[in-house]
Amino acid sequence: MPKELDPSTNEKNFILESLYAGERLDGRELDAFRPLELEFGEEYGLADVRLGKTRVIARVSAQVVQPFSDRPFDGIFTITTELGPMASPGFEVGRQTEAEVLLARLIEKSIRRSTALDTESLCIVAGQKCWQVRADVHFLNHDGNMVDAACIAVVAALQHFRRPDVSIEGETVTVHSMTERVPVPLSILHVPICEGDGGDEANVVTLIDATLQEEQLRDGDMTVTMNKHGEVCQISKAGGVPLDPIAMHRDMNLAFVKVKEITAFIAKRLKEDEEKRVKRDNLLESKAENER
Amino acid sequence: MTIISATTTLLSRADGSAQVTSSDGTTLIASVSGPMEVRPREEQPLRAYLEVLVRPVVGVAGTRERLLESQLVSCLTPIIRLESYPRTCIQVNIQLLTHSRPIKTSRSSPPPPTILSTALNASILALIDASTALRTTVAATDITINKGRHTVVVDVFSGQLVFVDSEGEFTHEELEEALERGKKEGMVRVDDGGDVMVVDEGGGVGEEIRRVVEEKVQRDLRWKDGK
Repeated sequence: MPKELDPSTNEKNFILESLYAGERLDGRELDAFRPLELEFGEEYGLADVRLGKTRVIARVSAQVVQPFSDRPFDGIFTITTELGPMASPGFEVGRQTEAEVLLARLIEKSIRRSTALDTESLCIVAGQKCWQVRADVHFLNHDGNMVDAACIAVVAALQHFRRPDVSIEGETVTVHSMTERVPVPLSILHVPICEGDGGDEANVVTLIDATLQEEQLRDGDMTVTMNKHGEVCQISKAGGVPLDPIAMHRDMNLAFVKVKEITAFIAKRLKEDEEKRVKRDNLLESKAENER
Repeated sequence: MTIISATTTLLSRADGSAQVTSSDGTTLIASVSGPMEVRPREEQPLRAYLEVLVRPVVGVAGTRERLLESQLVSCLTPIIRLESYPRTCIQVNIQLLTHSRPIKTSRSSPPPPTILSTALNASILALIDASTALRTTVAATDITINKGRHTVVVDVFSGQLVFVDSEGEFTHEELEEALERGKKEGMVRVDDGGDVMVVDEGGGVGEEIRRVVEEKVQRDLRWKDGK
């Protein structure tokens, strides 16, 4: 498989010079995201995220399985991220690169380990039956900043997903079809959003949402995951140029602003989709949860 | 089965790509990369190595996807001019997105035949988008007669049969009928002068493919209009 091409010396010099002058190749501000688009599929739990030219699709699905014996009261939540050759010909099937492992771990840490999804609510019969929710992330086009795009796709798909309702009588569990009973949304405790910063030599320039070219030229990067309440879920700074605490603080404050914007955007899109569905399927007042 | 919507050139990193939605609710994206560097093990001195990769929307690729891959390879091999690109690799990626039938069936059960025809139509559009040298254009349709389901692939110009995959119970006459219907659905109508006629009635899959390619060419050549 062909290797990912490094930018030429001319490209490199041009991009870096413009960055020092405060300009980006696509005309964005240094602290601006590319235009974000989010679409949902016909069925529940399919989110299609476009961040500039980067495109990621997340599909959430659920099935009934036996819980792990050491956690009888918890459901199972897994995230699968695999970079295929569709995203970029440089990725090979079946061979994980270091970047891919880092990416998978980062998303896992941001969403699963920060308990964004309440796994206890997925328990049906303790120790016997629980829901296994899995999120499959498909990278379709790689133009930098896949972590943020994947994170947005997964949290949006989780919020969009509805699982079939179940009823329990003694030992027997009945899974009701989507048409029989209104499907139940997952219980989401908070919405973590990743935000990636790229820095370059000696910390002269810091930028948000790097494109592929900028990613290839950067000397270090940091990803902060936060939710809209300002809680930091994780900070990942795997090598690269050192960052002093003040700069880190500044970056996190910046990230907080972006996270609030993105969370609001996802909520807006979810509401629009909900309204569309209510109109189309005549679902007025059919809700799984009670008014509080 | 007809194509409900098809778009091309949607992924910037691939050389060609197409997203196709069929009337049965199957949506998938096909992308083509190549001709590009080939792994030494697969290098062929006189022709390109054709690689087809199918990825399901849930879970990892298993036996079903392997079957689909081998069917696509055997169908695409005679169509692509592989000998024009010796010692290279042409890679076709298929990413399934939605399907009307439950996705979670046992991993060894055969894929619903409708996926094959949609994947094939999408691959052809992606190959055209990638400007890969092709011998002809083909169109795939699904024909169901009684208990038999047939995926029929025909040359859109001559109506010649390229590939057929059947499933279920059927008689020889039913297969003949399916092939005949597949030919009708897949062919584009050409008048005697060689120019393509404008047909008023909604055509079959072949006509749909022609429409998508026409739109694509118009879009690609809009710089010529000077607008």
